[in-house]
Amino acid sequence: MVIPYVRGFFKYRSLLIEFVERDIKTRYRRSILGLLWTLLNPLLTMTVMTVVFSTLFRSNIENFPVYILSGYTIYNFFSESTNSAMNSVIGGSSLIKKVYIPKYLFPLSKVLSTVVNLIASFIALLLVMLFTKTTVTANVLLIIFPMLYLFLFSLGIGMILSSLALFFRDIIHLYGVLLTLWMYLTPLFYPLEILPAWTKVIVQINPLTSIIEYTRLITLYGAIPPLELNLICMIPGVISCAFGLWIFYNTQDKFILHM
Amino acid sequence: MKKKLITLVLIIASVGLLYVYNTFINRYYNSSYYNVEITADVSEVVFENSDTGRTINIQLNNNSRRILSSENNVYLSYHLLDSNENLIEYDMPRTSLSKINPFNDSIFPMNISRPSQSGEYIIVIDLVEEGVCWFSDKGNETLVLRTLVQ
Amino acid sequence: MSDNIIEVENVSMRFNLYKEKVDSIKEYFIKLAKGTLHYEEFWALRDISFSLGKGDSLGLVGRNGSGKSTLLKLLAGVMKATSGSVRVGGSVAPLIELGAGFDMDLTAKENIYLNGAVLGYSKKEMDGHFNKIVEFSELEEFLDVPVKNFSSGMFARLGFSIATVGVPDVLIVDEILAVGDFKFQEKCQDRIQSMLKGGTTLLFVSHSAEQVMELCTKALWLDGGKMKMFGEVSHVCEAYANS
Repeated sequence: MVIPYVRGFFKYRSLLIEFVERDIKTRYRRSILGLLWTLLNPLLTMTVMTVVFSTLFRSNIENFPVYILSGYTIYNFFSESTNSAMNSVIGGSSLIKKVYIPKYLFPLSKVLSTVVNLIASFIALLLVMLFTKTTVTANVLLIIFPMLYLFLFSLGIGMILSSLALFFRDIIHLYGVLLTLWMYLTPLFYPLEILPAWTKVIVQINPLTSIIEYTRLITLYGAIPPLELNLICMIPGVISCAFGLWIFYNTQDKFILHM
Repeated sequence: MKKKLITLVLIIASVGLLYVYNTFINRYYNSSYYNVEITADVSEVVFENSDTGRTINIQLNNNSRRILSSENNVYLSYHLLDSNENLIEYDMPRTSLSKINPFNDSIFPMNISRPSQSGEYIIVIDLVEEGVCWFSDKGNETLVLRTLVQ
Repeated sequence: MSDNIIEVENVSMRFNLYKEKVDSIKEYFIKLAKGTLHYEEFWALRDISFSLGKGDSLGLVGRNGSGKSTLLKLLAGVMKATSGSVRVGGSVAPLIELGAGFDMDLTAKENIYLNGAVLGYSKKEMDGHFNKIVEFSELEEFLDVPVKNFSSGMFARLGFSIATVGVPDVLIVDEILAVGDFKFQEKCQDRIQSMLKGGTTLLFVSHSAEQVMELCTKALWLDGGKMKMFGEVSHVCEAYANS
C-alpha cells in the first residue's frame, strides 16, 4: 500500500517543485521590496515588540530581542503555513476537477514554500544575535531539528485543515480566531514561569512552546538541548503528520463532490 | 457501527497518549533547578608544607533550565570533614560564579584554604543558593575529594 | 493477466444530492439535530463493464446526462467509483473541459510547464517538447501573455498540444474538438490518427456520429447511466442513430 504512494510521489516531484516555485513567485511578484521583505518583516515586528513589552518583563528576561524573535519566527511559520495549506485544496479545485493529481501535493507545497520564508527569518535572527552581541556558537546549526519538528507538525495540521475547510467553509474563519488564541498561549513575549498553574499546563502542552524552547536554547544560550526535549518536540510532529495523513487519505475521494 | 467503535477507541487512545505526553512535559519543564554536575581536574588535594591554600579547577555542568550565576545568589563552596566523615565546618568560603547558561558548562578556579592541623581530611564540594539552600539539600550530587595536609 | 489497457468492472457511481447545500459546521450540526439532513441518491452510472486493448479507440455516445462525462472522469482518475473497479494500465492524458490544469494568472509559457508537470512530465522532458507544443498550437506570439486573456479556441489548441505531445497510453477527449475552427479540428484528427497508429488508446466523446465513426473502432452507448450497447462502432452508432 505504501509503494504506490512512493512511486506516485516520485512521478509528481516536478509538479511539487512547480507548485512551490509558483507560490514563491506569486508571493513576491507584486511587492516592491520582494525578498527583502522576508528579512524586514521579522526585524520590524521584533523591534516593535521589544519596545512595547520589554518594560514589562525586562527584569525577567535578558536579551529580549533574541528571546522574542526566536519565538516569533516559529509561531509565524506555523500560522502562515497552516493558513495557506488550509486554503490549498479549495484553491486547487480547478485542477482536481479535471485531472488526477495526488491531492496531498496541495497542502505540502504550501508548507514547503513557507519554509523559504522561515529560512529568511532565521537569517534575520542571526543578524539580531550578532547585533546584540549574543555569543553565536556552532550549536545554532542544530536549528535544523526544530525546523524539522515544526515542519512535520505544521504539515499534519495543514492537511487536516485543508480537508476540513473544503467540507465546512466556516472553519476558515474559526481557525483565524483559534490562531490568535494560540498565539497568547505561546510564550512569545512572556516567560513561562510567570504563569499560574493551570495556564502553565496548557502552555506547556502546546507543541510550539517546546519547539521555541529548543530554538531559544540553541540561540540565546548556545546549548545543546537534551534528548528529552527532542522527544517532546518530535512526538507532536509525528502524531500530527500521521493523523493528518489518515484524515486526508480517508476523505480525499470525496473532495471532488464538494467542489 | 464498527466505524463508531474505532473512533471511540481512537479518542480514548489519544486522551491516554496526551496524558503520557503531559507527564513527559512536566518532567522537563518542572525539572529541578538544582541539577549541576560537579567535577574537578584532580582526584585529591594535597597541601605541601609551604602551601597556605590550593587552587583547584572545578567544572560545573549546568543540567537545568535556568541560568546559574552569583547574580542569582548561586555560589560555589565546600564542606570540611575529617577522615572519618565527621563534620568539622559546614560553611566554608564562597567562590563567585559568572553566568552559566542552561545546559552549558564552565570551569572555575576554586581556592581551598589549608586546614589548621595536618592529617587526612575530606572536602565535599557543593553549590549554595545563598539564603535558600545548598544544592545537596535538593538532591544534587556533590564532589568528594580526599585531602592530605602535610 | 490480460493485456487490456483499460478494464472497467461493475462500476457504479452514486451522488448524494442534498436538498440544501450544507457547507458550514454550524449548518451541519443544526440540520443533524433537527433531523433535516436529507439527500437523494442519484445513480449517474449503473454496473458498467467493458475492456479496451492497446490501440483501441472507444467512442462514447448517449444523450446529455447519460453519464458520459462521469465515466470519463472515473477513467481519468478524477473521481473514484462508488462500487466496482476501474483499472487503467498506463499514463492518461485527459482533455476534460478547456483549460484543464491552467493557472489563469500565469503566462502561456509558464502554463506549458505547469500542465506538463500535471501530466507527470519532468522539466527536462518538457524542455524537449516545448518547441513542438508551441508550433502545433500556433501560439508563438502569445507565450508571455497571461492565459486569462485567451479565447476558448486558444485554450483548446494549447491544451490539446500539451496533452498529445508525449505519447500517453490513454488519451481522453471530452468534446473539446467542438471548439476551434475547421483547420484546427483537422489537425487534431490527424494527430489523433497518428497516435492511434502509435498504440495510444483513445476515449472519445462527441455529439458528432461522423467523428466517432471516423476515429473509433468501438463504441459504447450510455442511456440513463446504464450500458445500452457496446461493440463495433458502426453497429452501435447505427443503433443509436435509429433510437
